[in-house]
Amino acid sequence: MTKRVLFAIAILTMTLALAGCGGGGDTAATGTGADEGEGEVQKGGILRIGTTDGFDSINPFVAFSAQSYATFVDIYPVLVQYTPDFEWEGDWAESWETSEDGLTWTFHLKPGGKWSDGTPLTAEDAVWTGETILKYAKGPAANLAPFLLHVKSLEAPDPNTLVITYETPVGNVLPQLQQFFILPKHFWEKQATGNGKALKQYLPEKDLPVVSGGQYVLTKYDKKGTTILERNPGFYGSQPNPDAVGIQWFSNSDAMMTAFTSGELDFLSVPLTAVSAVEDDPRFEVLVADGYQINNFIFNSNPKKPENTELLDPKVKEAFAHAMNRDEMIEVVYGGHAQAVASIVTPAAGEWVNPNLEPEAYDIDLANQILDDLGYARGSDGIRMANGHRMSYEIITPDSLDGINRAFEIVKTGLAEIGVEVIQNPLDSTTAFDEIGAPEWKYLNFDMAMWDWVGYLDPNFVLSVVGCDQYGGWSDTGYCNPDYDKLYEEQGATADEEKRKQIVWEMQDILYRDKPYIQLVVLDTITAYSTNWDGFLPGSLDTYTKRYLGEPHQVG
Amino acid sequence: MSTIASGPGAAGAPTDPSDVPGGGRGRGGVVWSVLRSRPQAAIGGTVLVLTILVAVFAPLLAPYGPREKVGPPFAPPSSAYPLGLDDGGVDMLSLIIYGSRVSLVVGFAAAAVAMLIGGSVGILAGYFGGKTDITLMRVTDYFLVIPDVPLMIVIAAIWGRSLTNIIIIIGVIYWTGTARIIRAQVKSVRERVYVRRAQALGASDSRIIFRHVLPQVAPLLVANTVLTVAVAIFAETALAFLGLGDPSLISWGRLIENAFVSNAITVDAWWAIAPPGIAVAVVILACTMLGTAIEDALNPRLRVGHLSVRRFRLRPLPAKDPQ
Amino acid sequence: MRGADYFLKRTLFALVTVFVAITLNFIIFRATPGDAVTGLRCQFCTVEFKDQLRAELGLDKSKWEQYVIYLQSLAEGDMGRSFVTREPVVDELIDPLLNTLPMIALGTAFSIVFGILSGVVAAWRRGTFLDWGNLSFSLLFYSLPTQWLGLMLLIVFAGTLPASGIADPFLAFTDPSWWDTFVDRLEHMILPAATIGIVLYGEYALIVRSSLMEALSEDYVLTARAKGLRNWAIVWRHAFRASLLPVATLIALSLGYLVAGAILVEAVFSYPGIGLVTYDAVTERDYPVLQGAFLILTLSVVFANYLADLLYFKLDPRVAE
Repeated sequence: MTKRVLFAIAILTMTLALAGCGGGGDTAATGTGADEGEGEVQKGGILRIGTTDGFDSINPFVAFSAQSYATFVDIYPVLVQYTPDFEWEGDWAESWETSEDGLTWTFHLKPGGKWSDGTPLTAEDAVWTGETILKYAKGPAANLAPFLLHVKSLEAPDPNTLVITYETPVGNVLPQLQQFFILPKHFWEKQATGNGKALKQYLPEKDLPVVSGGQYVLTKYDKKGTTILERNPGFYGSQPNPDAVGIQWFSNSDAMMTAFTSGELDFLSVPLTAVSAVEDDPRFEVLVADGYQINNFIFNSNPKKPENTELLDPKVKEAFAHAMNRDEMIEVVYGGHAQAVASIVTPAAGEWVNPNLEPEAYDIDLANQILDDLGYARGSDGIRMANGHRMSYEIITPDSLDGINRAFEIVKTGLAEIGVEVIQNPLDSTTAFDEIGAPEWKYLNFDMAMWDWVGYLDPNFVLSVVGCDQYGGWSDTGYCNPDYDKLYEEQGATADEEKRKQIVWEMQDILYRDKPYIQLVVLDTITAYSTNWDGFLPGSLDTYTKRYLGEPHQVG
Repeated sequence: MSTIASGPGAAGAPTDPSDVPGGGRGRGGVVWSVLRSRPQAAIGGTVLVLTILVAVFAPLLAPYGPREKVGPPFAPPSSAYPLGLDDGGVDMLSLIIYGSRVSLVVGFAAAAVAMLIGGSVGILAGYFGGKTDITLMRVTDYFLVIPDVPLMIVIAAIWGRSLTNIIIIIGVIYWTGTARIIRAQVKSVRERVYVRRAQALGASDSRIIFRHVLPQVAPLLVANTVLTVAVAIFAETALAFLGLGDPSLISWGRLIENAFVSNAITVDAWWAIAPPGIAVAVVILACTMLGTAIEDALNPRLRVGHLSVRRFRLRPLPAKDPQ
Repeated sequence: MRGADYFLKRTLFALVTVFVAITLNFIIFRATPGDAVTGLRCQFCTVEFKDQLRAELGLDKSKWEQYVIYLQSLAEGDMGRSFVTREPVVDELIDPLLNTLPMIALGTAFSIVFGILSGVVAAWRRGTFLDWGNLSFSLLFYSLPTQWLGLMLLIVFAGTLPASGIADPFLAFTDPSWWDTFVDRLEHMILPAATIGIVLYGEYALIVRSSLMEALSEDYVLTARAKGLRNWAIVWRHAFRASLLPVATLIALSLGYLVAGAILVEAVFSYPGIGLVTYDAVTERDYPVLQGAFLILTLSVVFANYLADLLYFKLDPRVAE
């Protein structure tokens, strides 16, 4: 009897002992030279951030995710950054001049910067990074090439001066360079050999801490756990307020919100449907900012698609657009924190948005009228007939989009009222994109989908996704319009802002008319922080300035 | 492993139908007398029937439509909406009522699939014995070894999330328990006098199986199927929770999953989470009570316990691998 | 000799089952529509690029060749590399496995202890209200969907106990003592373990009760009673001892499924264990990791069954025939 009891106790103890030292994802932080003095970081000095948007990679040649880019801004020098008022200020650059013809840009860099391993930071690093990107722009560096569009050469006449020469005057030099992350030449050059494949295959997480030159050093990386950034003592600018920043990834937003409300986190981006839980709580402050994510409805616009060609007709697309109940989506799916939009360019881009475009009105009668006029009569079950078949289609939806099922329901109800039946084909994002491009990026199979685009303040990127050259790249519409592409090239090479604006507006007109997308709503960016901290910038600035993670500080 | 038996039948227990030549009173007779004599079977059976009725008459019973937005998202319970509203502003009570349809359909259909496969395997293995038996049992053993939930999610992720797929997946994974039990029963039935007589008279195997063996094992098959329904309903909720259910259908599992991903916990909307789980638990409980009561009554091994008063008997629930 | 025979047979069976599991593993994941490379979404993922990646990953060889290569690598302990992180699969799975085991052990310990206790009490006081109440509880807990129970616990304890994860990632910055780390880990483990424990408790309570009732009706027990031993002594000394093995056997059997069943609990609590890794690998189509995880799960079931077979032999040597 006693033996059994002892045995049981032994098991229990062993279990608990295992509990203390099991695998786990988070062990003690690796101390680095980032800390002044002892190598200890005070708990109070860590800004604990929660997110459900994870990293996909910390290799700049590989990463796509917003989280990765937001972190690159902090750990690498960039020449310029946005101010909280969305003007321009220097990050690494103290000042800059442009030549008369707009082709040469000279940046005077802040001296004294050091990489986290002690190596001095010089303009040579910028030159090397730029040249490497240009060299492999069609291959391993394709992700980063858009940030050096039309660059002819880079030179460093002295360690603190960088000269960039363009082949043609470019309209958005500064927005491009804001995302031009400068990498340490002495560390990365060993990967840039041969065809550069090693650049993409290299895993920085194997060589922690990542050699960083920004305000923080990436000392710990865990894709499914917590990533830690610690102060870089060699930073050329003013030291950030927190000693360190921790970014904890959650697979479920309820878990994240619970951690936040229990005091385990200091700052996070609030899921739109959870805002009500924190906005009236005196322990937290909520910041609402214009967002960049525009959820949309996609038509396969490839003129070569063999089936359901009625969906290529702009009139049909217009009818569908009038059946989209954006107001209900805003209320139900996004907790009221979204606005209707008409253009792929996000409202936050200000002047770049074509002001003459209005979101199509939710008008069932009008939609029915249009379809009636086209001769698509309703069958006995209320579903219209077009080209000899029922207007019944599949809509691909990616799992990764928050609230997609609810949004689909609303779309389905609206379309049902105009005699169109739709079935949801929910897929994980990878498969969804594959289905859209099927077969083999010819965009022949799918009819419709729902997804989103997250644009920048500068419209260049988001306007590029519908280019003919994006088949198999960014395209999720199969849209190809040579006239549009010509305009795209033109705006990229127009330095005069007013002229460029006109071109950009014209491009939006074309898209509104051709409707590869029905742009639905833009989501607000809502962040919340605990009142133990202060000094936060609106969430719309997270990839645009080092101040975002540099200025917040503890209070009291 | 010996069947772990429980107490004796109550006075007036039905005679073992396997003693009656030619098939006995058949399935209905046994089940009915079980229901009459054992309270927990009656409770379980009643609840099950009620749930089926709710599912069938859902449109008449539900106060609102299952996709009808009737108020603001996550409105708390009130006199108008006794179970509150979900994240889409839809009435939870209506959702529960309509959700019973898919949950029960999946439960019964998947259990039927499992019964068909498991019953066939069990009968064939038990009746023919020898190599057939060994082979079939080996196959069963290999199937048993594969962990159920991971296999389900892999297949669902690869082959798609339609209702049919889910039914088939669940059925194909959970047939093993039935196979083993039926096999044991068939083996014992096979030794019966009348079967041997029929064989001696030259009756074909299939005739013997269908006319003599099947009716004998039918009650056990029914009992086991009822228990499998419970497992199937649970499996559906597991699949739905992991995001692999059919999102166009409303089931209880889906309701739980929906609450999980729509921040119900953060906004303290317990009414979006509690009711579906309770509904599932109630049905599983009912099936379990009914199924084990029938199995219990069919158990030929009677035991007497001297140390306690017999009032409630319960056969231990089979782990997914009853011996 | 019969015992040794049996032992050999069961060992052989276990090994063959492992081999079948490995093969099934391979078939399931390679016989899928499209491979992992097909759906890669990126700016430069042209057809040529994907073909190149396929060649790198060995996906362009015939299925048979891939199978042979797979077997060879397994023999060397190489489960391939994750498609997502490109780390060796073995490395990706060890930590999660070590996370899951203590959590399950804790939950199982809880359920065994309370299950046995209540099973004993119920059999002893059979027919009374205690028995009936206990029975109802056990049944009820057995019927609750695991993930739902986890969510309910989460609602109740949110704020008091951590809602997710395995440890406080920021604890390390405060120079914690061993005790601090231990408590932190335990806090994160309690809710998932409790969920598992509650669901299993019902099952074990019922099993213990039944096997005890059977043991209590054995003749030697009647003899003991006739000799005048008190009920309590009889139950504890004779019946309990006798029923320990069947209980242990059943526990061993169910343990095999536990590791897999942990998926639901780990999903609710975002607990980075082997279950969650399996689930993530499914959604990310990370086939090497998925294959590896599946293998581990299957092996644990085989092992548990093997253990149960051996235990059962000890219980009733007649099974060897």
